Amino acid sequence: MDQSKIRNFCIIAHIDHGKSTLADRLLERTGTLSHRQMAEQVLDSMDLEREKGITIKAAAARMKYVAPDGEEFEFNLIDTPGHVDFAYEVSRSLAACEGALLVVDASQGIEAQTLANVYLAMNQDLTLIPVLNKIDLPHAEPLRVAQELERVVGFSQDEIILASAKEGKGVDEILSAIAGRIPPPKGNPDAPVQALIFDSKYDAYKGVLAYVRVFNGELKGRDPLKLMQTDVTFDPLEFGAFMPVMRPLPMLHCGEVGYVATGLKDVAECRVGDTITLAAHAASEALPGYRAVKPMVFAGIYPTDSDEYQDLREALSRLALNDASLVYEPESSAALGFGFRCGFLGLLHLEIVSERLEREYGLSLLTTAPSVEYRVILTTGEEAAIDNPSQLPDPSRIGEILEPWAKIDVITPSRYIGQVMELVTTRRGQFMRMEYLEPESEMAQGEARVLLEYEIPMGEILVNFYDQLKGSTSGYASLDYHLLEYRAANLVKVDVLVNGQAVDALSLITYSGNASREGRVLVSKLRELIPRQMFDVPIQAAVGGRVIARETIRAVRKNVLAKCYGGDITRKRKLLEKQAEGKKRMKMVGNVEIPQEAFMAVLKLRDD
Amino acid sequence: MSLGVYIHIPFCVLKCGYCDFNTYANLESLKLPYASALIADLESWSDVLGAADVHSISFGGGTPGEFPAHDLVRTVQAARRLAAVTSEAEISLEANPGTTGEAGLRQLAAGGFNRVSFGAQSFDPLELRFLDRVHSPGAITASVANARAAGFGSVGLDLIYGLPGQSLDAWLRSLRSAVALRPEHLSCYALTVEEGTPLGLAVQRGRIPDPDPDSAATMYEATEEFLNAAGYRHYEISNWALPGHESRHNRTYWDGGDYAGIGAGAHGFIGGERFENIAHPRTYIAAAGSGEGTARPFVANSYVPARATAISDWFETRLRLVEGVDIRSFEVEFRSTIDTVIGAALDQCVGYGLLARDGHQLRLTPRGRLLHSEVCARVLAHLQSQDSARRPLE
Ligand SMILES: Nc1nc2c(ncn2[C@@H]2O[C@H](COP(=O)(O)OP(=O)(O)OP(=O)(O)O)[C@@H](O)[C@H]2O)c(=O)[nH]1
Ligand code: SF4
Ligand SMILES: [Mg+2]
Repeated sequence: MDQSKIRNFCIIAHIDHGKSTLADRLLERTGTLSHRQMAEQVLDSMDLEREKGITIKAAAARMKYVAPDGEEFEFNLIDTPGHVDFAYEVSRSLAACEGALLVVDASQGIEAQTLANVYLAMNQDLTLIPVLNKIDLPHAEPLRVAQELERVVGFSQDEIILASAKEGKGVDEILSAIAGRIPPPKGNPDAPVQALIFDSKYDAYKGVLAYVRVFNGELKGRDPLKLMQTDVTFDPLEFGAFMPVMRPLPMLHCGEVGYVATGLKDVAECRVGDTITLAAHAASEALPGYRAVKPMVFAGIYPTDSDEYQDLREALSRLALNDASLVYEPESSAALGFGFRCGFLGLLHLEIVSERLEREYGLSLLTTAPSVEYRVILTTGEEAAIDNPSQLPDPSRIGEILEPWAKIDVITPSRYIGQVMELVTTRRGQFMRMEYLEPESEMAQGEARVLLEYEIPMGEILVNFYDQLKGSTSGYASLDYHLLEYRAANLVKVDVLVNGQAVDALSLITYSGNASREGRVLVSKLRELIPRQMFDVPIQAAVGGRVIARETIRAVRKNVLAKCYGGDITRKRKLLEKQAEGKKRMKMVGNVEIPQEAFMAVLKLRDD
Repeated sequence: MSLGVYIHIPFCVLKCGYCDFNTYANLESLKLPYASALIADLESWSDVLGAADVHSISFGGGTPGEFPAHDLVRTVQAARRLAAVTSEAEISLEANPGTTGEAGLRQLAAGGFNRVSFGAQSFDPLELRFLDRVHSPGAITASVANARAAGFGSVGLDLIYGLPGQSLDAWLRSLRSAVALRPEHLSCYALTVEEGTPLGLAVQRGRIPDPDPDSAATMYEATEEFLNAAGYRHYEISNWALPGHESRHNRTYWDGGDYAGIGAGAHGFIGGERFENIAHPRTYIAAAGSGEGTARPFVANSYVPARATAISDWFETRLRLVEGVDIRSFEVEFRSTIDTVIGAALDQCVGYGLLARDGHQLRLTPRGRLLHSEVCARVLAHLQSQDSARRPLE
């Protein structure tokens, strides 16, 4: 394909504003997928994406577009996720593109991730095409949102395309804007090969599949290729593109997006962000690649059955290939045995990773309560990073504990400012700045949308903060956050003793002013979550050896099934199987059987 | 082979709110064709029956007591025609108080029935209403008297305890009233809230509180003490009898003996194979006509349980007996010692005071009788984890 006819673009937006649905329409209108092959949000191909109705993985698709005047183009689209936890998918995808469709829900307006994505795209100098979606909705306010876009991002009114991805309105205009406004890829087809790996996946037959954008040169033939960072050479098995299923092609031209089957079995050898070049005729330098992600949340992942540790290790390495924001390292727990401490971009990310590990690799896992990473300055002057509360050194050795702070942006109608303020301050947050996105004077009282900026300890927004923010603003507020810096804090570790034995996986680090309240709540939640055992089980919370809360789970007295009716043993068998299954999902800590949910009890501390 | 025969009568006047048995109200019109289907069902087992000594025939339900007496008798006669029913065989039915009159009971006794058990459930009118029972406490007394007058040598009563909000005293009052009638047999079951029943729904919606397992446990312990003192022998978790009046038929289940299951949804266990009949009476009756060519037209499903299941079933049933089980019988059946197969799980249960071993005998402790499922679930979990350990790695 003539390089000047290639257009590479992403679709970016706040969550649920209709990116994947718009991608459906583009695939349909260009005839890439027939009506029969079509499904709603067809690019959301993972089971989990379909169940949750959200995009988790960026997905690429190549289309042929014939303009009304007969000119032919090759479009390479990348649909991205909108949830803040998957922002790394977005930034990697942007690096493979020259432009982006910025989708904004005309009934919602600009939201926190709209802005976050705009900044990401602008930093990479991408051409943005603003699309106001969902204009079919009765409460859509395209005019108002168009003005908001003009004021906040600086678009001119005639750039903005009105669309309904649901009804197919505006799709032709979007297609011609992609061809007309987004520049073709630059790149020199005759220069040494430089292809950026923006994503990857493991395939049992073809080894690591590297998803690439060819920046210079061309990928073809059988000549050995080289990964510039790891200095690994391989013989390519196949080149191809996403149509949207993988289709082999003889070559990938300069400027194109596609994949290379590397045949590599060791997933560590092929990293996202690396540059592929020719082994014999290497480029002089690698492409810039990506900044390493900084996980915000850490949790332990353990196999329920300790025999599955090796399987878990293998599963993590393969999953990390398809999820470049996942980091992990081995750890061990007195209570849980051998597992991994994993870093995530947020709680949804954590949930998705553990579900994918269980489903895609058939594992049964136990996840411990999430924690942020603390920094501890020891009395010796040494500094230690602590992402697992049980690793916090003895208080006598601690000079100072620092906790991560975040900057958060909240966008909400101004009538909820009071509620947001209150929520943030009860979580030790500090107000920084406020900006009206719409002129207050022109709007009905409390209607104008406002951007609020706060600084707040990361640990305080980890759990339930987003839900409470939604709850206190009738669902209107949106949230974006990023790491700011580390600040000293008065923090203590709360230990939990079950049947007299400290359970490392249950300890938590908290603000000292909250310790006794949280200790009490934690103990009573555990009493609800841990089933009655064959003996009385005391549960205690302690700070530095001093017990601050205590409850007892009484021994179970009765668990017997009624008679076997008319010789029918099958029903009892089913009930027993359910009970046996339950037992297998429990973790034996000492001689107490603790269910998986108990290790997440910390998540419930802020329920009320 | 010595065989028990279970015959299911899936009809009730009213469906009780807690009941999830395979039984139906308002299917009266099916009773006549059903009676013929039962005989066809028995005949379909003529090969097995012809080679067996039948030691018990038990009509359960549903409410067999409301089924026409001459049809019950006719069914017993068919069994006698097909099998050698021993002279001392136990021939029993379940009935609801007040629904089977003296004449009917006489007819049954004349037809060979020697045992009847009444679904008394409670002697408290309010509790009976809660359970959707249509009879009065007085009807229980009358029914027991009628059965005796008709010549039944073994009369049993079924009682339910652990109703939501029921006090220990209230339960003991019912129990005392029952014992005052000197039934030869007593079954006391804790109310189980079954999913999908009207009671289950009411509990789920919070309209009725969940029965409290701890107070049910207290009632159970009081029951054991009271009935012991009254001269009843506790022989199975929920069953007590005067000496010589244990239920032969039910013991067949607990001893792992063979039994045929006749009737809609009935279950059988013959020569290590389990059988399950077509559940709905209408489909069951229809199978009688279409039976040509199929050896067992009424059987919906049959299978030989896998080893782990068979072992788990072995525990589930044998351990229900208060006397326990001789573990050498495990070795005979499964060709390995009990300790190699599930020693660790048993040791754990012994440690928790749920099981006791003396010599070759293994049985539940008094505390273990209330925690039978804990023992069985541990055994099963242990068996399953061994199974998965043995599975070759992919
Ligand atoms: N009425 C209306 N609904 C739409 C339109 N476009 C998308 N939707 C609906 O909006 C919801 C979200 O659509 P998606 O396409 O999954 O949104 P998304 O931006 O890809 O979401 P994430 O990938 O999770 O961030 C779905 O229920 C769509 O059916 C539209 O033009 N009109
Ligand atoms: S009488 Fe017995 S079988 Fe019939 S519905 Fe009531 S409890 Fe169930
Ligand atoms: Mg999407």
